[in-house]
Amino acid sequence: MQDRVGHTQDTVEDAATALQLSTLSSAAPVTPSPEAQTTTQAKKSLADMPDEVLIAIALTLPCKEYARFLQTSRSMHIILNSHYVWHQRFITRFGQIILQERLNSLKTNNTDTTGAGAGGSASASSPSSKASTAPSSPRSQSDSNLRTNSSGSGSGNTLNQTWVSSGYFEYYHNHQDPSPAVSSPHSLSSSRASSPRSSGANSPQPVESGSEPGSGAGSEEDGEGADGNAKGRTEGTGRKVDLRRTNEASKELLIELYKKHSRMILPAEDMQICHLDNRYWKLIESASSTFGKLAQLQSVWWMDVTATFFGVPKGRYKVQWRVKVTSDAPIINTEFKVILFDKHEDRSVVTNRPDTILFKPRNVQEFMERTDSQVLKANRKPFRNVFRGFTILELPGEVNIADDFQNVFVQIRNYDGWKSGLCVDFVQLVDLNDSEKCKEQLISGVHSDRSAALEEEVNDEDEEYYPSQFAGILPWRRDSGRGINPHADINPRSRGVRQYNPVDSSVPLDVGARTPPASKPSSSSPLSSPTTTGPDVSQNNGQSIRQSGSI
Amino acid sequence: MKVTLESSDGQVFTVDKEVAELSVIIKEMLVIEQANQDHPIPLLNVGAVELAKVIEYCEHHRNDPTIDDDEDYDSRKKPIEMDDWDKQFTIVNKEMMFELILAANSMQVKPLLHLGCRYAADIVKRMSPTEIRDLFQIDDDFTPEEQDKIEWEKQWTKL
Repeated sequence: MQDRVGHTQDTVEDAATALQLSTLSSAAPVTPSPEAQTTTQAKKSLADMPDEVLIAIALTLPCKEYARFLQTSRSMHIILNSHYVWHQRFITRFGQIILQERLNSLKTNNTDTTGAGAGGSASASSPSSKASTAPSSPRSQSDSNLRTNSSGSGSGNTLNQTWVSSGYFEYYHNHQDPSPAVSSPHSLSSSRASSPRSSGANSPQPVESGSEPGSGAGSEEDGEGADGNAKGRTEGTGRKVDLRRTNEASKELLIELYKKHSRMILPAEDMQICHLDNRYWKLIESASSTFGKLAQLQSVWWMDVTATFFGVPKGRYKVQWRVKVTSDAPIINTEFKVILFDKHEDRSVVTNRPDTILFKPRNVQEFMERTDSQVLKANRKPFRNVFRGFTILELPGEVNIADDFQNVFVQIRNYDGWKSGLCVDFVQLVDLNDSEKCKEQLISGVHSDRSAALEEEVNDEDEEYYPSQFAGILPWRRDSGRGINPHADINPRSRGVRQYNPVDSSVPLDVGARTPPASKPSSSSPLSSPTTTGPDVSQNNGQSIRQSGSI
Repeated sequence: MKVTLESSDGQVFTVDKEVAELSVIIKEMLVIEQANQDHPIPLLNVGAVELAKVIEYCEHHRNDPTIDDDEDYDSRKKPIEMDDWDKQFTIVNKEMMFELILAANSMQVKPLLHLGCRYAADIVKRMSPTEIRDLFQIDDDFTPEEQDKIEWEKQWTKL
């Protein structure tokens, strides 16, 4: 090992000297005059660059190179390993445009103070287009309203207004240090308080958040608290501080902000899908997709769907896929993988890790147990009727990110046999520590399943219908260990978070009121048609049903 | 319209105004000092050689579409393409290039700064920390504890 490393270093050294020579020799004709040469050499190089230059260089380097660059000296390590640089890297290199879009839309929406209705309609009318605009607008408009309401007690309208109009944008962009009064507990509470709002906005239909008076009022109250906090911030942000030297509290606040704005959810458009060329896989626009577009599997042998979350902040997460399955071929013996890799690492070099989550259902039952669909019906119905609409597949185990930022790589992989009948909508990370969010996600999962179940009931008169318990929650306590990764551990705390059975019973009552009636039929019709075709599929179908029957 | 620039060692360059305005600093200076444009603008951090190079660069890129001042976000999203001329331009030795980067940084010529940074990044690529240190005469000033701390980073960053 040591030898090999030494050897490679030698070769690299050669390469480096060669490179140096080449640059020098090629520079020779260009170099203007000898005395200028000496003066420039008298000056120093890289280490004495101003910080912003170093950062600019670091931003252009790929991950691994960047990490190596970090190790050159202490000052560089301090400058470049800062949260600020990492954050910059994430938003510049990994195209987390959503952050910018959000901030920009905050900016524009907030200047329009009267635009409550306008903002809502705008978000509703643009179902496609990245979906990032949809969550942002309801939130921002409520923010602006609240701010203007509560500004009477504050230090004056103008100050608030300016802060509102610039919004997070300025705050973020100029790297202003929040005042020490607004330290961690405050910022955390504000983020907690505002989380229902943001998570509510995350839900598929923006109409929902508006049409539900109870939660709306609650979030408004919460918003007041957050707003007071924000005002404190406005008054306190006199000084601008370089983030590189910023304190822990503001770092925490930044992470919270980042978490809120960053992508913990990747639509199908942002996945890397092998054979995505309309023949095997297709990106189709569909109203049933949360993001307007979903990837539909026509028929493929080599199935490989990957997605990578870059820069996931510290925390514990569940991985959830929103898929629609109309055949078991794409499920059986398919590997659902989650690999955690470090912020420095290149994804291409990441292979199996000890803490990889691998879920490989051997039969339909195993798959069903991880979804929010009805388990018991799996054996009793033709497969394609089992899942009407989309289901949330939650992979066993959890992703535990201990270090500041890490990347999460998720993959669906199956290289055997022809398969079809799969639609992928999105993959998301659900923060287990954010109980509100967690709850909300699962409720929405139950909720969508509920509507699907209702639909199903209408279609199949001869089938018994199991209304309550089986329709809902992911079967947390039914982890038998069969086919499930031994590393999966749901610790007591997370289990506590999940116990929200009372909510489960109440949710179905709201369903009718919440779901916009128009969207449902249109959503299911384009999807259900092109599913099980071709002899291969039906063969597979038969096989797996036999398999599942044998167990 | 012409603008005169003076380098740190006293040489005076005369360039077109629009060329000079690729530098954000000079642009701002010109706005402030509308009245006395007869005097050359002093650039205290920039030597004559570098200034000549910077001007050469600006002359060539005078017709490029300008990037909004506050949107260095945008410029980073779609990195500026390197054309052949740029490649020729960057064939200098590294000290010169670093001087250029410094000059571009102090004069705020964004595209040139990006170009330079990319050049620097290309040099640094595929090099171990030790080599970078040797090449740029950087001191290895990590304390032993810090060495331990970054040990895990070293594990996989090895070439």
